[in-house]
Amino acid sequence: MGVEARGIEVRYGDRVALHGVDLDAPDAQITCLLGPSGSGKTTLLRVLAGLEPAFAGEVRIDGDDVTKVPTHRRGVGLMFQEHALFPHQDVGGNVAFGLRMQGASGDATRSRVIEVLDLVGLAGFEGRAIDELSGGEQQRVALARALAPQPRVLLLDEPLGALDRELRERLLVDLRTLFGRLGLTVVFVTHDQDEALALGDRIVVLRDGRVEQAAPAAEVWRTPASASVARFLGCALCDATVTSGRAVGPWGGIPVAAPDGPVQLASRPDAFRLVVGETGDGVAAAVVAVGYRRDRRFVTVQPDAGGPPLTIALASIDARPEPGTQVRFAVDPAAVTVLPPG
Amino acid sequence: MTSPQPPTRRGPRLGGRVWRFATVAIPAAFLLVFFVYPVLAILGRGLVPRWSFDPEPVGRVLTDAGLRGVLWFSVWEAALSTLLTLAIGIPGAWALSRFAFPGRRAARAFVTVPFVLPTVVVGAAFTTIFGTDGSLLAILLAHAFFNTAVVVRTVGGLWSQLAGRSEDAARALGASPVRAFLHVTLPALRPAIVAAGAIVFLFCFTSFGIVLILGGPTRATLEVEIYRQTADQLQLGVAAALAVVQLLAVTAMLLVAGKLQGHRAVALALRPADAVARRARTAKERIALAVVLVGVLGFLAWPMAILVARSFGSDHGLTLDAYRSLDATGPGSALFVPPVHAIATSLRYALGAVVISVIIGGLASLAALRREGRAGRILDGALMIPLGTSAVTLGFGFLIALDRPPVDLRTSPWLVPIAQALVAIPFVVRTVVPLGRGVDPRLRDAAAVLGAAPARVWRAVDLPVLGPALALGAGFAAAISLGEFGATALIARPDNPTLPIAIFRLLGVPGAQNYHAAMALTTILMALTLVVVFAVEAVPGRFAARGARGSRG
Repeated sequence: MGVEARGIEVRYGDRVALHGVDLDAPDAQITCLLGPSGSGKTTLLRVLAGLEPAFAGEVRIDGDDVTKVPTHRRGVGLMFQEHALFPHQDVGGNVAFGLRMQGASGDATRSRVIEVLDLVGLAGFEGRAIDELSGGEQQRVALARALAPQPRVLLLDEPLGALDRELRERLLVDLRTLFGRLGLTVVFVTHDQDEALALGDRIVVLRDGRVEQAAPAAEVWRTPASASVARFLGCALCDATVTSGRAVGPWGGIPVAAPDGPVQLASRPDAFRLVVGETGDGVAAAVVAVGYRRDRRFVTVQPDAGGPPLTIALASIDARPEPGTQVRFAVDPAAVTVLPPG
Repeated sequence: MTSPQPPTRRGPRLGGRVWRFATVAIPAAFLLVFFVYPVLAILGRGLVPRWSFDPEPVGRVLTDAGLRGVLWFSVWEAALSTLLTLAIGIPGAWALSRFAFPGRRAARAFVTVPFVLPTVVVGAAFTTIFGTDGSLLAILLAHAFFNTAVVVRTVGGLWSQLAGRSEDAARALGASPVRAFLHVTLPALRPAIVAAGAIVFLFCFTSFGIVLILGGPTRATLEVEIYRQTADQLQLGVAAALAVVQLLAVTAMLLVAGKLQGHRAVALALRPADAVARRARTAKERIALAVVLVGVLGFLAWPMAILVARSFGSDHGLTLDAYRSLDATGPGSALFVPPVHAIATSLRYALGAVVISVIIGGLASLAALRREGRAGRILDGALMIPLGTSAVTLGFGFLIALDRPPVDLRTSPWLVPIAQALVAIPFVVRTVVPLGRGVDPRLRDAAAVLGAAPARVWRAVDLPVLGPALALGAGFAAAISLGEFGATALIARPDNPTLPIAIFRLLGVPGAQNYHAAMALTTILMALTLVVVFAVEAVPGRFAARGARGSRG
């Protein structure tokens, strides 16, 4: 159940935007399509909605083959990045639009509009004009409009992209709670890893029109399936050589379960430990740069043994290594993913 | 296996093939009968008299000293008028687009007033200052008065969106304000200046009403000469030859203008309009701003004020005599009917012209908006051609082509409205198509996802934009019809003069009473035009603009 797509292929002239993509968005779960721009994630979403014709492939919603069903009879809800609210209708008119298309009675429409606006925290906004609303309010109206006709699946195309960071984080929590409460099947397109990890039950990573990895969110975060997924998630990467169960490289020797030979290692920035000083456990390195990202301090170090510089997330902001300081670092072996050599 | 073609990716789609065919065929047929056929008739008269190609009439025009003088005068008065208009309009654009000051919106609206005035009104207004005996200065000033709005709108439009950053950067690098303007701002503005200059030149080259009224018996543009050869001398062959020369000259100008525009694709850092407007900072700036504003606004207000004042004037001071005299055929009057009759005629013709141009222009716009319709694109272009053809040429074509079978409209009350509609249709299409194109395609997607079938999508998304756009177009058509003079002058029946024609005739006869009556009629025509223009711009314009802008993030 939920949404299934099989072998979706989309071409623009000679350019292939999607190479036979498969997608499973299970019932009552949030599936995030994650990828850089140009990876085909929005195209795939438009195929699900029936707005983009597929060259080949099949789309099923709750088991029904909807491949040949035009958009307006698919029963999907879609939210756009720019909201695409009808500027000549007020809030109530926008929210009621889908209900009117279903031929709902005036009374039923009115009560549903009130209900949905209440759900998104905009009770009493029915008569407001669209251009009087703030960005966050427009976003909520767009959500209410998509939810009102009770779609079988809700598709969201970077719905938070146009909002500022603080608002975005607040709305992420709201959305997560709301979707859970409603038991909705959701497909959510984003290029932001944090957003995907915060919201998604499942994550589907797309790159160049192909699926790189499709797995539960925690699994994608724990064990990225390829170097490009790892890099996209912000993992550190290095080359190493495995000899009898130990991967030796710029990160020192790490116990791994892999056959002998060259490999690539990947690890999240928060799996590293840093010790200031020139002696002790771990691998010697020099601090190259120090920076903050919100509540975390990030230190970029250059391992003495060579390899690319890596960025480590410090657990607390108390340690204050200065650039140029000699440090030692170690990585939690459980957090290291072994990938084929690059 | 392929997915179904999503129904919403295309423009309006109503009722299938028949409807689609009609949106192309009806405007095309209209254009063929009322534009192509009359123009071919002119070319026939001018180049193929007696059924064989004979460039002799055109050659005679080009060798006759008097007629060559007409061509030469058209060129140089247009060049001088354009320079004068730019000299007034660019400072005006600077003041109105770069600075915030109290009353700015009103000042901007006021600057566009002269442009919507009928040329007869402009001509009549300047007679109050210069008389009717052929002052060159009067012609140039009247042209500048009429066209300043073009420069202020075009140049100011770009100027108000130009990010001030490059000018600031130049200043920070040590350029004086003047050098920053010359080396940074002016090159950035050049596309708009060239575009505005080209349009103004074309308007002045084909100027009719202003030159006819202010030029006296000696000065004439090609337009005026075509009219005189037709209406006064009855030399249809010479008129046809002149019209051919005019058509060639205008075509050449449009091609050159197109080439210039093609080369001017400049990447500019644009900001939303008004983002760069600021208060004048230094005393110098404030003085310059005040001088420019008083100068430009005064220049534009002055003729209109004198005109209105004269309409209340008589031998006994301020009175309404001139207005009271309008419902009688006074002794010595040049009209065959009481002047008020002209008001009714004008309104009737305007209604007819609006109906025709909204139907034909609306259908053509729908055809042009259908993206896949190649015929629509061709039609879109074809409908612009009457714009380049002068109104007098159109009227002349009607005169020689539509007065005998197969199309005999000599006595039809529709003849004048059709000619006026032909002038108005390009404006209707130019108003509707950009607004229609501006509809955010995602709104169509949104409507489809919410369950709207294609026809419903069109009704929900496109119609709310196209409706007000058509109303706006109708307003323009009404204003154009009310003021149309060139075509109407040749084809209106003597006992059914429109307002501009009545004014022109009254100006042509001596007597203070006639002159005051002309001023009264001119004031009425001015008021009517302004009411129409501001009424339509005020009501649906807001919605049209909102719909076209789409939703904002």
